[in-house]
Amino acid sequence: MKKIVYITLLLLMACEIPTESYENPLDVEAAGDNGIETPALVFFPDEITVTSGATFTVFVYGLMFDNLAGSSIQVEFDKNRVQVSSVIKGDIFVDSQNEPIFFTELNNENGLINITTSFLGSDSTAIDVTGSIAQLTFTTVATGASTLTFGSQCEMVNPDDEALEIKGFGEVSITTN
Amino acid sequence: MLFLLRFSAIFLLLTPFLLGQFITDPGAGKPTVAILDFEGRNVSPQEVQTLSERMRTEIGNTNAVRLIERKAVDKIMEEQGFQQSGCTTDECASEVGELLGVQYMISGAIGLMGKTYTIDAKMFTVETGETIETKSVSYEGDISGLLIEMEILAWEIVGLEAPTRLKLKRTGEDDKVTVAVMDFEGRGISVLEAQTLTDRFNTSMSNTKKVLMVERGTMSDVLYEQGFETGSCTSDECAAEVGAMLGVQFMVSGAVGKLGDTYTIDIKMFKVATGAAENMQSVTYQGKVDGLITEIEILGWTILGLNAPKKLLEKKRLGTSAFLAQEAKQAPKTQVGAMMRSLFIPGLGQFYSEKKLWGYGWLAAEAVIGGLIYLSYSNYNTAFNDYNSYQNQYVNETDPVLIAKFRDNSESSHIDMENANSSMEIMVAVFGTVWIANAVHAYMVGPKQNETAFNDVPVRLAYDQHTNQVQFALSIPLD
Repeated sequence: MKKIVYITLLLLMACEIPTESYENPLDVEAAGDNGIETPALVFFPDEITVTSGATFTVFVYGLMFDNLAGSSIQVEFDKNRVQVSSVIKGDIFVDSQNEPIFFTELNNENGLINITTSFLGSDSTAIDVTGSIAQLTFTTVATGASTLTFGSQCEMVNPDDEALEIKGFGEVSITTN
Repeated sequence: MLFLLRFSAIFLLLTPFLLGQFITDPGAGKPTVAILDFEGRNVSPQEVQTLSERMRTEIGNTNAVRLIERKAVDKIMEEQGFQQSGCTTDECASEVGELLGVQYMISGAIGLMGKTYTIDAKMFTVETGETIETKSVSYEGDISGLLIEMEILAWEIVGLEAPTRLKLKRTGEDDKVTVAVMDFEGRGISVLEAQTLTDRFNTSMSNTKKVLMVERGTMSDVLYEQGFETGSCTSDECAAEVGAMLGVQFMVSGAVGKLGDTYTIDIKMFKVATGAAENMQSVTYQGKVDGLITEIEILGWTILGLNAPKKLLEKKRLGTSAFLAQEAKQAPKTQVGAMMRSLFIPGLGQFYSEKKLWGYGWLAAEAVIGGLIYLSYSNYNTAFNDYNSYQNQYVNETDPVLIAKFRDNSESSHIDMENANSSMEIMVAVFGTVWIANAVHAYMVGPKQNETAFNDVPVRLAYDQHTNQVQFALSIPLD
């Protein structure tokens, strides 16, 4: 009898087909499906669930930029829920010649982070790549839901300091329990 | 009735010669017969000659007539300037008969119409030209089959019934042994009781399906023709004689005696051709007469060197009353019972209905489909695990190249999973369909209620040729 039940369960289990889900924010195809056109600025990951008082890390990525040489990024966060604790440079502008230029301005009072980064030197001019611009570490201060978004002052430039079009912006949903 | 009159006429005609055979010279006194080569119509002369020759050979085996050799016929024909094939009229045949000095002539024709062969034979007196016997046979098949038809015709044209061996040969059942059972001699029991036991023994032997039994009616006819009263042919010699007339290979005779409460059964089976005993069985039984019947039934098997069925042995062990009570307790097998069993386990209903081959077939079919379902499930499981693994890698990967790779792998696994699942669904549907079909089949081949003996009207009308009366028979099966 047990065998019959086991086989029946197997058959019932076999009917379960999981729905396909591709939600990686760095997946260009998935970004298009989610309404984010490239080139774009996105966060990775795009969903975070943490407990109050815990820290978490979010990466800022430039997605599918051509002829990129520098960037100026503004990130906005809910200061009542999270506080930025540190920002570390990413690897997008790292080359074998020089360390990239990397300036940050952390403002927990207004919930803003400004990051400026670019290649240093004439040898490293531009790249066609998807890569991480910065690594942001936050600490949650209160429970509730909040988002991490890009501000209006974001700019990506080519070696001639001409602005590149940013067609899409990602965001992070933070749930603090 | 017509047959009886005809048979009686021929019998009366031939009786003096037949009786004379046992008294003096076996050949003396028998009517003399010559057979002309049959006329061929659409059949080659060689084939007709061969078939005519077969009739000559077989007519010699009947011992009813004295046959004039073909050479003598040919010689006369030659002297008269005829060829056998040219002498086709009755006048010519009579003329040849007169010259040969025979009493009877047999002539005939073998024709082919479409795919059917026809044989027409006639026996007539040379003296008056009167036709004594005519026989017609139609046969469809290879011409070689006419050989056996000619052999049978050889018996029938002289007014005798063809031996059983020939009839069996005709029906292709000559691989079975032919047996006739003489009524057992009753010692201390009545003739009717002895006959009843003989009948039961006959039925039991017939149930073995290893022998072909001569019907009791045929046996009675032969005994009657030989002038024996019922139960008076008890010696081995008499039995052998009857066996030879019946054309069977084996005869069974026996005796059932009663001494106080003890019954003795002695049965002997012997070869008709040699008279050598094939098997002898003796049983001593003490108890109710019911048990004696069971012993007789068992002997029906053991005399042939076979093991009696378990049911009979069980009947012997328990005693008839207890056995029948036990049988009555067991619910009769039904079609619904077969179906319910097959619904529970495929093939079980067929086993229940004694259709073992079908039972194994359904069981094997379901096992194979079950195996295919398991294979599909295994494939599904592998694809499911792969999908989850690739999904985890995809979600956590930050390298765009690897993200694309894991996504592709994940999609591929998802397709595999869907295919395996579809395959599994189809197999499950087939599995279910076969299961239902097996149950329906079990119902169809299940034991049918209307196959019981009681649903057959047990009333018969029969004509008894000895008393020339119609008899009303009512039979109720006791088992």
